[in-house]
Amino acid sequence: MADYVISKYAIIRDARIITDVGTFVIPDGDDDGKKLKQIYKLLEVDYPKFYKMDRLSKLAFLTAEFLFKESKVLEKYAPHQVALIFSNASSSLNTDLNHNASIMDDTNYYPKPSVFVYTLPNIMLGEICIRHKLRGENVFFVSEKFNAEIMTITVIDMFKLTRHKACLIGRIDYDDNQFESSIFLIEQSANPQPKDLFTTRNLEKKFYKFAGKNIKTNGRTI
Amino acid sequence: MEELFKKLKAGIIGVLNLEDMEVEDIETDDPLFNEGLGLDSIDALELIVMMEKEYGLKINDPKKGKEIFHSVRTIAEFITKNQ
Amino acid sequence: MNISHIVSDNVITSLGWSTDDNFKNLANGNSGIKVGHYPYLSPVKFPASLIKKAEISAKATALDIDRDYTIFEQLLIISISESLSKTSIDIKSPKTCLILSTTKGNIDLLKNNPQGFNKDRLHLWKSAQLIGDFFRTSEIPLLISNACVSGVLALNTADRLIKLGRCDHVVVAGCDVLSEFIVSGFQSFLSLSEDICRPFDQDRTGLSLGEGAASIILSNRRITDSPFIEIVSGASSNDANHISGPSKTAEGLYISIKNTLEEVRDIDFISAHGTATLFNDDMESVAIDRTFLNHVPVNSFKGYIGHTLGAAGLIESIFCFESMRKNKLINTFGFKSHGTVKKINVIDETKTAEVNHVLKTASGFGGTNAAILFKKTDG
Repeated sequence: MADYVISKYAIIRDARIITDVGTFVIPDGDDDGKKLKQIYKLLEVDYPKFYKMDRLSKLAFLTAEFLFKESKVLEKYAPHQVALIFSNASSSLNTDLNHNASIMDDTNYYPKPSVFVYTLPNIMLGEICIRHKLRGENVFFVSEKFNAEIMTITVIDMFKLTRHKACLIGRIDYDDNQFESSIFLIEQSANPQPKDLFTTRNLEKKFYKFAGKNIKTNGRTI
Repeated sequence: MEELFKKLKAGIIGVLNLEDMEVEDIETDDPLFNEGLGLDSIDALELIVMMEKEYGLKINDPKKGKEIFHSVRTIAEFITKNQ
Repeated sequence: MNISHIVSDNVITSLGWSTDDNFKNLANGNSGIKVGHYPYLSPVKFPASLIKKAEISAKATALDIDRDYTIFEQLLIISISESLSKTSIDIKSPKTCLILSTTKGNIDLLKNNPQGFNKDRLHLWKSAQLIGDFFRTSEIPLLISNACVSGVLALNTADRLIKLGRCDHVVVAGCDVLSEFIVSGFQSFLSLSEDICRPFDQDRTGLSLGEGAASIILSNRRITDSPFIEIVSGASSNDANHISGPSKTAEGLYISIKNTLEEVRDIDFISAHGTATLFNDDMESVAIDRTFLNHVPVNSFKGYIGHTLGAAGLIESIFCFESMRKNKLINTFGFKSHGTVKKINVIDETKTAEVNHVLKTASGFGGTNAAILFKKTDG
């Protein structure tokens, strides 16, 4: 049986978008909303639904778009064969605060369904699945730090016990007006490079590979 | 009525995050759902919130909402009839 | 490959503080959903299944957790303590895992924080850490937050950890408390019924919310008395259709059920998600129809305890265990006449029946769906 490898990745951190096929610089934007729009324009895709998403889902969507940019990798798989196992530290807190703001004032009480629907962290999985027509398993964990061991075990065991052939592992965080995200594609390869083999160690290495000293998670430096 | 059409179109663009759209881009009689702007069920619910917030009109049944929101004109007619 | 055996469980809802009390009320046809005015939840009247605050306070005080833990955390600690008290499993062991499931955790603190908890309590990982510390677990508990399928996903995750020998035992616990945050959101979706919800009924108008907590202890060893209940398999899938509207062809639930039921075909009972919204119940009937399970007795428990969100998958799975233990199929409270697009066999009266294989399903915002299959053996 062929080995599993981390075959592709896309990481958005600080001012860069780093993928296995190239690095892009994030254009300057006044605020996070504008920054995300600029990244979207970089992609040159036409997906109006993007504008309805909250910032967390936009971030996840954009990262996945860079991962699959000009790649036909998904064509190898049927929709139900590709799973998504994601995690983050902040759940949907940024959007939670928006929804909460809409119910703070009894005299101006208009909760918005288009905001409320995004007050769950797994919605980003839905957005990625809708975009790329993926129908495999979806699981969303919340953990303070990226737990490479748990992600590796969960995905390896899923491959052993189910018919999935590929999996996206993601870590997408938007909190305290800082965003960072990573998505890795795990699939089989006949000729894997040792550094790409799907192991806890390699996943961790790739996750932190481009982490500079400015990387924070929940206000803490990793 | 023209003023109301304009106000509604601007409201729709704002409330539904229709990026890069202007008031002139929305035809008064074009269907808003399925074809035309291709709005979905969450958009319909947002329009219900807009109706209550901006026009003081409460719509409790999403099905009734779909009829009222057929086009900008039908929304305007509903508002004119009920205010 | 190991098997996940159900060793112990506990349910906390408006219907009581134990699995027994809850199931007794179900069997007697008592619903815990009451239409009322709950100002801390909503400016308008609505039906809700609420746990009495005074009772939570009393139980928390008895465990000395009333000051340092939020209500959400108290309920989890109480439920896990209760389940643990019925076994000799050591939650501190490195071979015991703890998995938690919730949608919104302490989100009620955003508007209602009289005890002045630090804002880091809004983070689900913080609650997980504190609960892990309370029970002195070897590892930080896993926490799954995946809309209303969180409970079933937590069970599936636990099952796989045991199957492949990563853990000997897993404690799975879930909880959601109601808050204005949650209620107002569902109200903005116009998805709440005005009276007690009516799953699968032709006049259904929406869901009723509930709060609850539950815990289930799984072991790779069969250490209970007969009957023995085990997890056979489970799966999950995304509709890839819409983030809030269920797929009209029930893609995700269909795939979840198909992947769960690969070999076993003899299902005695389906505990469906059955929220009583127009679209969810129709979608579930389509999935049941596509998998040729139309004849299988199916119910929803949500007319008794409401939709308990992150706890639903666990609470309702425990009701499945009780149905197997007592060979009893529970009536679908609120159901009167068929109203789903595909014909399904809704249980409309509580009755005795041979219940050996039970399928539990769940669906949620984000197009997420999950299913799990339980099996009972007598020896």
